[in-house]
Amino acid sequence: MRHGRAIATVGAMAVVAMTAACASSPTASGRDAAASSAARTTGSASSTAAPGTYGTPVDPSLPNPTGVATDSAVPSASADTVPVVITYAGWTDSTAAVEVGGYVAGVAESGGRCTLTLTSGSGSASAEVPAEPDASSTACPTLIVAGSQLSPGTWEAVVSYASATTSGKSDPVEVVVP
Amino acid sequence: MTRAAARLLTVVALIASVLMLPTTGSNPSGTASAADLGYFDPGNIISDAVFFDALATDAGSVQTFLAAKGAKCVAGEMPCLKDYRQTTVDQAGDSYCGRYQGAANETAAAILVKIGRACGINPRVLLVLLQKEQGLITGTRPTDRAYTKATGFACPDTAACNPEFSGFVSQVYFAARQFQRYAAGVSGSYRAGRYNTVLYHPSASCGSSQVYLQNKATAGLYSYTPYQPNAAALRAGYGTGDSCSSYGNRNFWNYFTDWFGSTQSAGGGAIYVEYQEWGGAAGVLGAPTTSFTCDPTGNACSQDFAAGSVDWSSATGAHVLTGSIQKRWKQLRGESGPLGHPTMDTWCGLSGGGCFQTFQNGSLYATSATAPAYFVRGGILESWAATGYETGTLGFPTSDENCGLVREGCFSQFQKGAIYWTPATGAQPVLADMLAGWATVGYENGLLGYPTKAATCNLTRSGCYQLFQGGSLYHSPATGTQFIRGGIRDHWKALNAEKGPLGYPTSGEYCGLASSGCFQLFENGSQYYSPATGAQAVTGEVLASWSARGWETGLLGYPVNDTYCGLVHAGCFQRFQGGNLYWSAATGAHFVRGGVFERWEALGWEGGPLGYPTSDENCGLVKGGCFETFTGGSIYYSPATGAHSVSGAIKDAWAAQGYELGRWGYPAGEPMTSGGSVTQKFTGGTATWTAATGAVTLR
Repeated sequence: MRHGRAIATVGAMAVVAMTAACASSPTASGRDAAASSAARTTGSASSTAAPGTYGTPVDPSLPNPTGVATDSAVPSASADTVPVVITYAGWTDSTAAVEVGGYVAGVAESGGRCTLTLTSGSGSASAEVPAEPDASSTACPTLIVAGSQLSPGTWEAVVSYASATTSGKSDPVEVVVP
Repeated sequence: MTRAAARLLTVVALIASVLMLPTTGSNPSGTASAADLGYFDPGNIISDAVFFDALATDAGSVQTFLAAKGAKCVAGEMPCLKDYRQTTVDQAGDSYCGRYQGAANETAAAILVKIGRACGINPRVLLVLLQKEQGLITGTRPTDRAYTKATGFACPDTAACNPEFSGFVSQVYFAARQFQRYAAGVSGSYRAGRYNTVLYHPSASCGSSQVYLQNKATAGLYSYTPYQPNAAALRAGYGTGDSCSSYGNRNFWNYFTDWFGSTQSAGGGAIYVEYQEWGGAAGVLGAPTTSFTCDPTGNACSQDFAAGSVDWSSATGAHVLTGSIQKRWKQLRGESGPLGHPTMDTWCGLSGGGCFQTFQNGSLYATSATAPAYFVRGGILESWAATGYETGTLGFPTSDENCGLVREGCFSQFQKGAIYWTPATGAQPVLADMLAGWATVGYENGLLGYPTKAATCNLTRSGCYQLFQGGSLYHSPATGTQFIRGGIRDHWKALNAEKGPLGYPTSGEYCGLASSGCFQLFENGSQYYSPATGAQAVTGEVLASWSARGWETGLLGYPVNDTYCGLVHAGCFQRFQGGNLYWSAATGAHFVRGGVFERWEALGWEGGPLGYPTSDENCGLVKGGCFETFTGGSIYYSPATGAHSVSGAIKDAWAAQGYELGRWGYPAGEPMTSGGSVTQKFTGGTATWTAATGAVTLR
């Protein structure tokens, strides 16, 4: 088991390296150039460095950054319809069920409900949970449809949201039931 | 949520920093290096180990940090965080956060550290959250709104919200609690351990990517702030990307990395996984009592828990230490001590509930989880293994390895013995019986020196022996443990050792006898040694007789051969420096020597007509004479006549006239048989015995 864990760690590190590379498609020199450009325009740090080790910042004397870009506030008043985003959807072996998560973007409110609808041909199944206001969105915590309600094959999942003030529906996502 | 107001704050901060910073090359900004966002991993923004490292810091350190980062902060509608104080009330705990015990006039630093502990969240995460959401760490002139929405988290509908537990403390507490709810799977829209669709921006047209979320902390950050930075945001450092950029999670990573180093810790992560595998806080280890701490290289980390600790190194992985083994390891200076890092978890499944654990440079063993643990390593460990570890002949160790013995020796004690090691002899076990015998001669400092082999125990009558540098130890239940060495050992082995006539030794070797002699007692006799005579065995009646005659200091001196039995009438004899002892059951033991012996020898010893001696040699006769009696006659000696036998009728007649004091004097020749008569010369004439008459006459 320990060897397995060690291998898993190495695998995770490989994923880190790969995803980091994917997330930053420019070359290192391109990145440095962008950082230098940012430094000139913002007066912030003049170069970048690898993160070092936890608990030991590379440069404790680093001045506070300036010109920090931040996200816009979530609108408190929602439109008539709001986007619903499915974050994950798929068959889960451990629960033998289709599990779907998502959130309602651009609104943080309580009192709404999230509904998962699975359709395949003429068959359908659904699950509903109370939506939950989160820090900057409204969460649709895990929606579960038991495998016993589903025949094997490809199903289409849609999460819809409805509250007293607004409603919305996600784009469909395919889910394969083994 | 972050606020546009933060931009204003940073502009003010920029002006302040421009005013304050020197313009020479010593400008810290000239060498400062912000974190390289090339290392930002959308699937692992921060590791669980770091995120949930509740004991990472203390209120004093946080206060120092707030003062440094907020050095330029001046109060606005609200005081700066470094100066903020709030009286807090108790907040009952639940399954996500422990109880918060209120106190009067608490600093922000104290509140952050207490909430971190109560909710199991790294206070550094909370600091970054305050900065990410409201710029409260580095900003100036904080507004009332910045505090009321400090973490951007509303008092949730799903938790009982104590109206008295409001303001800054409520914001931080319920944000921390929310991250634990995400981790528990009862809230949040993202799931760790699977691919999730993560948008770059609230505008769906900006796209998304499938991101495998490696841990709960990262999934929680996305639930809190659902977007990942796009390439433009990552290229921009802290700055602005493009219209599809979002910044919350990027800024979280930037601030954390610049302020506290990497969001990853290979060691912390491995410890975290190990701790979870052991059941986390509900398992045998209990709650953490320290943060995980790593050495400056990051290649070695450890963390303490209520009932144990976990140690990690890049070479050995993460392993749990519990009970007395953990205690002993720490006493031995942990990984920097002689044992090094553990290479397995503490395991308590040995016989009788014993525990052990292997380390890079040895092992610790204890008879139970609470009994003292002892350190075994190297050659001694190998030797112990060869005996069968704790179920073998030695049992559990009862001491650490002790070194500093002569000739660079070391030893470890065990329940039933010890193991001694030297470069020259390797490690050899010495069982209790042998140990007792070895002790009598001063262990390795004595004449035996160190053991050179393990004991061999296939000897007769349940005996064992063990070789040492300077000799051997022999043990049998009947005789105990005795040492034997040198010439005595060699001679004993030549006599078939314990299976020979002497049996097992019953004493050690005693030296200091006359002429540099030594002796040793055995079950069936003794060995006596002198440089001149070597070692010889003396047994039975011969030994008794020799001892009665004063041993080696008597006139016989040292034996020059072994006691030999097998003479006629089951007799025995032995030669000594000063004569010979002959024994038979009928005659007892008597010594024969010199001229008397030569005469007796010439007459065929005990097998001749004289038979066994019946007395020792008696001297003090006239003219320097001596005599000795035998079963078949006597031998009389004088310097003038030499030694001659006398027996039978002639002897009777000689005796009747007064032996050598009579007119016959000493016998001066041997009896001569001729026809029917026997003649024998005496100094006073020739005696003749005539068979026909039976008379003896002297002429």
